[in-house]
Amino acid sequence: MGLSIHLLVETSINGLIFGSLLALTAIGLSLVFGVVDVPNFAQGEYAALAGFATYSLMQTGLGLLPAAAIALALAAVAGVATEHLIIARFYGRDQYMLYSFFATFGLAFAFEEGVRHVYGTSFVKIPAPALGSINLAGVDVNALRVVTGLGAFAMLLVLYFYTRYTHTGLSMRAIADDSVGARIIGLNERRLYKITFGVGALISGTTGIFYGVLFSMSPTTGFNLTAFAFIIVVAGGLGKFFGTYAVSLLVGLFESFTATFLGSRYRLFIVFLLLFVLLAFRPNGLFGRVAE
Amino acid sequence: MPESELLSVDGLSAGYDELDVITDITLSVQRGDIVSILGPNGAGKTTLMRALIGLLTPSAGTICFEGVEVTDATVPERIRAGISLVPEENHVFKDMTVKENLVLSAATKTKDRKRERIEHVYDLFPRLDERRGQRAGTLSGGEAQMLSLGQALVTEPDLLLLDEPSLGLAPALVEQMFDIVGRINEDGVTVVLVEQQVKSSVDISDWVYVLSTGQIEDSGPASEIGAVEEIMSAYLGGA
Amino acid sequence: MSIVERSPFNARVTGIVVLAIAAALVVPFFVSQSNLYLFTLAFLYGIAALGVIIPIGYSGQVIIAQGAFLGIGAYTYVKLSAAGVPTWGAVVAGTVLATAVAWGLGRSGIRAEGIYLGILTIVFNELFTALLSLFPHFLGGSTGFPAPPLYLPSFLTSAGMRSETYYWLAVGAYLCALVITLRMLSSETGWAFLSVKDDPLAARSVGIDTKRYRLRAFAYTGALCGFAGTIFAPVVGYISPGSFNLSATVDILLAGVIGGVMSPIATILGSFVVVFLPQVLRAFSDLRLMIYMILLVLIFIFLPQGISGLVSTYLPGIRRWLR
Repeated sequence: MGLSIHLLVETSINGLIFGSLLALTAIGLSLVFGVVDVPNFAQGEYAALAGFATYSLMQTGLGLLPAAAIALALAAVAGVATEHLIIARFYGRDQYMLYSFFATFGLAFAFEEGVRHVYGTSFVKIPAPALGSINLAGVDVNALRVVTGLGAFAMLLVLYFYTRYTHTGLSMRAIADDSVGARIIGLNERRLYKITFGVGALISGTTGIFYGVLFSMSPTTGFNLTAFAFIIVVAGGLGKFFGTYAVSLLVGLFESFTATFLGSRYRLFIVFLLLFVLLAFRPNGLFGRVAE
Repeated sequence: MPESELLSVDGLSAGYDELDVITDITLSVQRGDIVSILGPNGAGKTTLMRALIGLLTPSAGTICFEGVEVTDATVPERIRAGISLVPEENHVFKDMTVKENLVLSAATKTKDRKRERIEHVYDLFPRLDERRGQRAGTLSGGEAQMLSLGQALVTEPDLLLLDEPSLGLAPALVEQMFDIVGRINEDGVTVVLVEQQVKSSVDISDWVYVLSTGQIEDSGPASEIGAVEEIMSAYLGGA
Repeated sequence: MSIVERSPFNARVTGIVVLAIAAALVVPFFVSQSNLYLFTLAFLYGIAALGVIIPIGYSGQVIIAQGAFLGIGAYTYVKLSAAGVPTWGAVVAGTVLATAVAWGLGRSGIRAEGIYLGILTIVFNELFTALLSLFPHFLGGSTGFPAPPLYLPSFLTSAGMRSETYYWLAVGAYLCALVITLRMLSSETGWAFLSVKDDPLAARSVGIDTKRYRLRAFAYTGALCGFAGTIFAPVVGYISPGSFNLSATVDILLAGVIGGVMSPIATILGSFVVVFLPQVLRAFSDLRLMIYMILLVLIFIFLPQGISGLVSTYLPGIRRWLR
């Protein structure tokens, strides 16, 4: 196979864009995991929800932007509902994390089946305006991809400022940092848990819409995104914004390059092996606090 | 309730998992005083503090603050009413800067008042002022304790609860800590201090309670609480 | 504290137990072949589910790799039997290997706590299935192998291995595993497990070597699931990575949790739910998995102690046995 600069650049750009999309769901998971202590197995399903909802809403004649807006609202509601109806039942229980994990697993599975029931097993794509191509670093890249990538990056910036400069954002970080300390200074954890789930679901929802526009969605898309999100969060370390983003880009690049150059046979094994070694030596992730 | 009584606790019992750690606690704190609650490890001092701030729900008894019953009030409600706790273990937010820690704790204040209060904390603790942008996790033990105290002060409390403020501090810092507590009191803040450091606490206190195995064993004005050695051997096993 | 206590000789409870065992033994005479197969699976899953009670219920270690240990037992059995090793040698070898690997996993994850340990074990599970697919010749790849049958000494079976024989074997194996587990948990080990789970720091301060007990929890889990796996292989007749993946692990976990995560006796109840409920829901064909999952979530919400919790609420006398 002739290794051209062209191919390398193209693969890299695609990888970075894909990584940015993943970062959004990963950060959503990071928030929920860090603040509410729930390893949310259904995090990727919010993305699928938003993606499929956008598609269906557009089928009724709605434009892309209004459909996306409604879909995102739906995702946020689903997030809050998850907390209110399911997760809240487990607060204070022994093995809280395990039960909430199982519950989200059940939720994810049930949702996936629901999607399969409604949309079948075929792939679904969100129609988006064809924007032609842009020339980047000598390579012609699909303009839509670039726009999406920039959109994802913009969302990440918004998120960054949200968690650094708003009271709610600071409160979320505080609870993730030290939940007892948060209670002592009078933060209302219950309310913040709901907000965290809602925001996390909203962010993941945006991944779903971007994903649905660039690639196509299937019932297993939610699970795939969840798996990526877990890998990123675990490798990047919980709550480390830039660590998570950096790892997301790496994962995106890795995915893009191995898809283009390597067979899928060894890929899975290598990924899991790397992850295993990482977890064994740095259980709190590459950028997380070093385990005692 | 007499005008000068800020805090009144009556028959309070509280604990964890249905087991009461403190039983039938009755005490009274006068406005403007510094009250010390002395006792050995395991006496229930932290349990009492947690019950006062609202982290624990008591199994029996009442807590009245400024004439209003707060036994069932939530932590944010009590903070808004004017009670603040500096916990025994340090619970500052390690991944956030000193400034972020203070800003977050000042949430109940209006924007201008927030800035004033934070500046007040910086005045009280110049070391924190120097380290405004530093991550709290990188602070030394003494500095972290100051930050913790700052977090409580930023809400402009009328009643400050201090759980073993000198714990883990080097002797020079301990002296500094008690000086600061004195200054805070002079500014008009009533202080309830829970401690193992008998002499330093009694020196600055107006009233002393002795807590042992979950019950108030003794109480009286600091000047009359008897020879310090006596208390120490009787209840604290020579602490 | 819920230390499994050896109940004093109680005629009523013993009567119930004897009845239950008798009922279990006569099942083959009343059900069809295909259902008997499911019953057999349920008992095997019951053994594996004990490997959920011990680490998660008692020792506080989040282990999510039971399917992989099941698989190690199964594959070892198949490879050795096919190579001519006598049946029981293969069974023992499978159990031992699974125990060793589980111990190794525990060792490599010694620094990980709580859910991070869980994630490590999930990754291990995935690693295991990925590894299987990488060696199509030696390990059967993603399609797998047929499994040679188990051979019991001829004085126990006259006509060779039939479904009924496998069933009774599974019941017997489950009862053995259950008794061993109950004895272990009511001994000093069980008490140590609970101390480690409750407050590792306090446990260490009274001289309990938390590391050693963590590893023991892993070893027991590996042993139980590996053993179940060696019988699983000939019962199913065919092994492939799909039976030992994360999905299988979750089934085993569900079996443990539904019964009651601290109740060894109730593992059989949990595994019955996990094995039979999907079949029962087959009537709703299209959405059955969705209903299954929703039911499961509802069980988690409303039955925090699992089925054993439900039972002990209504039959307090049973409580001591089920805890």
